[in-house]
Amino acid sequence: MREDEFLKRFGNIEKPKEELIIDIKREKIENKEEAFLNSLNLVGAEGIVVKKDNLEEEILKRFKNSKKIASIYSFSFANVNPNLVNNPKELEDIDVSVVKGEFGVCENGAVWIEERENIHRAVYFICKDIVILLKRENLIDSMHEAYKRIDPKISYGIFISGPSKTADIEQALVIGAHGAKSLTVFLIDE
Amino acid sequence: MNHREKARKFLSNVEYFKWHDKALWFVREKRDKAVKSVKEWEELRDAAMKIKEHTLKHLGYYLYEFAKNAKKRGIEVHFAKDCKEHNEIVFNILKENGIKRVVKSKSMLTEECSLNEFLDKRGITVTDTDLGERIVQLNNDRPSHIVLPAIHLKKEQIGELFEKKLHTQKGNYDPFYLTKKAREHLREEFLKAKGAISGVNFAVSESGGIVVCTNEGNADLGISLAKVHIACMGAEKIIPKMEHLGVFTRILARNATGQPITAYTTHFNSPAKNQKMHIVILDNQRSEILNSSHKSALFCIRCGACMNTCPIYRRSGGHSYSYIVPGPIGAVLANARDLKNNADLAFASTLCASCTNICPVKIDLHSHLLSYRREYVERGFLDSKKSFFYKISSKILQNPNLYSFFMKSFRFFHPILSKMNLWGDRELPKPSKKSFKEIYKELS
Repeated sequence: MREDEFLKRFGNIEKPKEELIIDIKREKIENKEEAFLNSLNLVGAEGIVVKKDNLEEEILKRFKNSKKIASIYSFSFANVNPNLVNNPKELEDIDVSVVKGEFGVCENGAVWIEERENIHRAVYFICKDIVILLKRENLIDSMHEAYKRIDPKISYGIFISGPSKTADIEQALVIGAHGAKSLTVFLIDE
Repeated sequence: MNHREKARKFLSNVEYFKWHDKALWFVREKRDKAVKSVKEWEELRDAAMKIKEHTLKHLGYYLYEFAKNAKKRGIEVHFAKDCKEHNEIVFNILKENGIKRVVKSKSMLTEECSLNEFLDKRGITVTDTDLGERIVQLNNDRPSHIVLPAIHLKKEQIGELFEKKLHTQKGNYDPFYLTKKAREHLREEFLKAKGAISGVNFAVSESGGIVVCTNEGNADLGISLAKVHIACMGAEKIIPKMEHLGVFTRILARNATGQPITAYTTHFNSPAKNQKMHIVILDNQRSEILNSSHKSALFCIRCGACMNTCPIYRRSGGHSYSYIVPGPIGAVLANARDLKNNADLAFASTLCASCTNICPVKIDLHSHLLSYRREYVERGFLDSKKSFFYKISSKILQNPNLYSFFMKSFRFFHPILSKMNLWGDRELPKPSKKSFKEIYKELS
């Protein structure tokens, strides 16, 4: 159906005169880091505070049995750069993805990721384990603050809250449905 | 079979219906816990309703802006007046791109349009990738719940199904094992498919992008590996701004499953490199509902909570509803589309209002059902037996003498009447020995 005919069915296309104002008042979270770590725990993820200089060592220690560690950044532990691959299906055998988050949301343990340099969005889902790096101070209270920080002009962005999960068989929670089976957030102290 | 007959069948297996009832109540309890942790919950509900009300009032504008912005971002936007057009658009996109295999993530809209069947007949293999939906698809079944598609199946039934279709170990009904096997099976499908079809949770007018919320990551994996992404949405999915997602992402998962947010909340504002992205916007009577007194039914964000809380749904199962969306919201939508053929669903309710109280966007669900009952009677659809009784009752209740006389006769004839079983499953209440008037006379 033609666009104009379709739109006609839903009223006129004039800009509304009245303004829609939504303002939700809520109590501020005092100890953000504690709240965020608790939320991560609730959604089946792990949060670790780490000094910047110890980060590489920490990751190597945790994933010493993982063969393929992918990251678009030049970390010593990363041996796959996903941006160099043409077809994202070639990333099928990566074990760990190390990605950067912009900020973490205390109320639900979600981390906002919008890596503009990353070409293949599959890196967030196709791996067995995902590691998100986050600056320790980049924690915010709720989704309201989160959306104030997000630019509507971005091409792509995602909130990830914990590993992939399902409860479709008799409500039994199973971690690791189609995406990552584990999620670790490193809160980096610079 | 109408809803009542299907419910009776469902209830005939006592152990099974109690299990079903409990499974859903478990979800309801998880929801209550999550909701109680948010002090401003009621404000969020008010805000969500306000956003939906405003958007629907100016839907023409917001749809126009959405399409304009999406096109600017390299997304192709299509408009479908009904399911036939919708399915043809999807098929043509796949055909033009030479795609024979697609993976699909959960979308009630594609169920509404029977897209799988349509594509299947034209030689395209569609694999549902949400675990619950895949189970239902392998079982040649349909979802019995919009969030928990396979809630009606026991793990033993799923285990036996997987034995046959995925060659899993005989007698292994462990959900962890079965999920692992499904993951392996579907991983192959993800790698084979060139196209991905997804639903849409929210479409943001100001960005021209869509938001998809899932827990399994199936939509994300499918889309990010495909050459072509087709997102199918109803026109009512629009919200004006990104900031409004702050409200909806806080209520959706909490009300649906008791999680603080879904594992993945993905914002697709433009296609990935070397990928094509299409959005198909469907009307299919939505514009009619928008212009009716039942327009608030379009507020629905498909959390499924009205099903979990409904005493009728829990005790009759999703398949007892003839419409693709079951439960209170399904009954309202079915009535809005075709009252005459779905009126049994208006009566599939105790009018207890639990659905209305739990609805995160404050749809007055039980009032809609009540008004559909009224409309049904007014339009003369009621069957002659019921209609006759209502007419007689109306006459009797309006006349005190007639009422006294009737009650006296009722006391006398009660033993015979109760044996006649005129109201089907319901017991005829026993009358008191004396009327109020008689007792009053004796006392004074």
